[in-house]
Amino acid sequence: MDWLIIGAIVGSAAGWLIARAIKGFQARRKGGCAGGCGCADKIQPPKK
Amino acid sequence: MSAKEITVALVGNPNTGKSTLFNALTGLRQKVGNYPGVTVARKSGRCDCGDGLIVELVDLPGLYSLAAASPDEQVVTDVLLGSLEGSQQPDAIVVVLDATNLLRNLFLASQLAELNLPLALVLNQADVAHEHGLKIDTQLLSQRLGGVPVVLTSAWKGEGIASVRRAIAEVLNKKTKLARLTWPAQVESGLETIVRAVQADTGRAPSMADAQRILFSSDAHTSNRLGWKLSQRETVVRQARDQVRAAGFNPLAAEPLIHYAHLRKVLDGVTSGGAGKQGNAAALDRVLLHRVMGPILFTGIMLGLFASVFWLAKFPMQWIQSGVDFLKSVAAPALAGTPMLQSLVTDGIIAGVGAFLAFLPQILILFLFVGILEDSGYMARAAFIMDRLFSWCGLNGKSFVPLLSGFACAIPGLLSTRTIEDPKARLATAFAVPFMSCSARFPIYALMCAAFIGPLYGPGWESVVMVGMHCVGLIFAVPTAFVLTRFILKVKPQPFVLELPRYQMPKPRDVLWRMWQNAAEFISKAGTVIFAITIIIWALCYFPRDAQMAEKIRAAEPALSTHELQARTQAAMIEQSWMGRFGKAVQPVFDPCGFDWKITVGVLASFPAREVIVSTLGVTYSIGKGAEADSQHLRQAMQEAKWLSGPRTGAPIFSLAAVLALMVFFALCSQCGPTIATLAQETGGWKWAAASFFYMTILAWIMAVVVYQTVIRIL
Repeated sequence: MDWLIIGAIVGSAAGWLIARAIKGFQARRKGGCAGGCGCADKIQPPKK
Repeated sequence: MSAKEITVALVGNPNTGKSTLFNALTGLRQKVGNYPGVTVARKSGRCDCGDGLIVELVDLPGLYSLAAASPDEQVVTDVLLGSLEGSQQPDAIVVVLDATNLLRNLFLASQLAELNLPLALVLNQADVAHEHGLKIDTQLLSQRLGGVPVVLTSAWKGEGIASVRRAIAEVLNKKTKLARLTWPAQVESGLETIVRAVQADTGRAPSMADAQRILFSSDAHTSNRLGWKLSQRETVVRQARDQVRAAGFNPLAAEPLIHYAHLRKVLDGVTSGGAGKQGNAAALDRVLLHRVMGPILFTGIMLGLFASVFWLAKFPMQWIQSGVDFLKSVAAPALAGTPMLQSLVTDGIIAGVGAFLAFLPQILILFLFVGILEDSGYMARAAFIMDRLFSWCGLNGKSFVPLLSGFACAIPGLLSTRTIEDPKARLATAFAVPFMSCSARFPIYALMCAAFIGPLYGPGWESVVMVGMHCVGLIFAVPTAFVLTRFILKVKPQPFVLELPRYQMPKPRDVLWRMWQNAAEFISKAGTVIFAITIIIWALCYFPRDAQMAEKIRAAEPALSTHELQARTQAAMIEQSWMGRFGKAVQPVFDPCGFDWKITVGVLASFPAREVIVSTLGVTYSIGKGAEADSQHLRQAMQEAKWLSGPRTGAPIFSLAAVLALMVFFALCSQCGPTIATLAQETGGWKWAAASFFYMTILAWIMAVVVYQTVIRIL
């Protein structure tokens, strides 16, 4: 049971970090800033 | 009408309070800085102008004229001309002017009149004008400028905001336009020559504003945008400029001369009084900007700032640490039946996230003081002082805004390099920005100073070392920029004009809001990225686990006490974990820097984000301490850590040499994934980003070795 809970927690943490990195990369490619500096929500990419 | 249908652009010179007015009109919050160039990106918000009229208000970067030189200014010009791909020309323009300097600010407004768009004027900082004894006849000004609405405001105090909303509604309904100046006949003729030629060559009729850019500017931005080739325009432009010369003007200087002559007539009798309090500011500037006194005072202010941060944060940090201990004492017995989960929660999550969160008070106090310095107008003076230091290394004067921003975070610093006209100077600045000591480096400096420098040498030395560490990046950025600008990129020196904002009392609401934004960001990081990374680090430090470890140690050394056996078992467990094996394998690389395998693990785990070092050390030292961890703080655990093998056996791991080497390593190393990605984005490829990463990382390692080997030999 311990292994199951720990596996789920560690897996979720790793998955979330990877998803966040991909999202940030995509946001940057669109011209926005997903830099983790807190400005991602303040600086928007130019409207197309 | 909906926000999508009507767009109103907020335009003005830097430092006119445009961003503050934007906040007041839209209710949105954004950084309000005192030095020029702080607004580098498009920001928009919904503005309710009454009677159901809601418009989209766009806050454009500050600029002095439409003669765009930097990419940032080009964006503004293109947006206003409606020539930016995917962006519509605004339906109206609100020009924000500094009420205390109408003549200079009206130059931009006068240029904007050529766009033939509905326009309103907002004379901001009316309170300061009033203090200076300056009186402005807004009705007369409106009358002379073609009946456009002219509103006096003090956005800082929230005065006159409703009038601005009414002015926007009025300008949209009545389509009032600012009266164009009457150009001398020969100049007008020259402009018409260009309009006709562009239409004939490209098939598109350019605006009069476009024709002026072609006639009066030396760059080819507008011609290129219109698709007017060099071969087509060369003779026509020369002929048009000859017509300007015939009117007695140098073509490249004619525009401001003609505008200012026109504006002086417009303002005649509109303003009266003035001067007032200017004398005090000038006297203060003579001291703060003095060649010798200026840098001394700047250093003193920085020393005082860091000393205050340490002193004031001492007790709140202890409270947080007590809270972390309390959480551990509650969680440990509750999870006693599941040792693995108990270790994850207490040694992993609580120890790791708690170690990071303990620096919240210092971050809060730091940003409080920085906010006060910024809003008071001192930061721009600091930029001026630093300009003297940097000018010899060939960096453009405009580099100081990005470099100063880099002290908070490299990413906005890199984004603000867009204000630099020369692409080579922009590249050199972008390369230097990651060297600035960003706030993510602060927790590791603070941890090392509080755990080792303060206890060893007294509290005064903590702030000295902190200031020193903030200078390390700068010390290396200067020669790096020198080599880049002089030998590799060969940047031509350019003059720099820095507008010094007036001194003012910082507004508590703005300073506290910025402090809260930074605190929220810090807490959010602790609850998300640090939380997730802490779990991963814990798992790597915990697995694989040898259930027979205690028996094996007991068999090898039967004389060990229960306490000793427990400590030895925990130490052996973490050493044979994945992270332990990895750390030990890589440790020889960092051995010359005096780093053991746990510090090595911390250094490696910090490459995506440098602040991870604190939580990583929190986890590795918590697991290593096992049952004793409940009562041990990270600082104490680090103070007690000793080398267990090799030539340094028994010596403290965190010697002064190792502590200084670790701080220097973190001051110089490129340990921020988002910064590298932003550098690649801003330099248009991965070449410079990769160069920056390898250069900074190798330099950090070399300097850490130099510091460790030097200090260890001296002491």
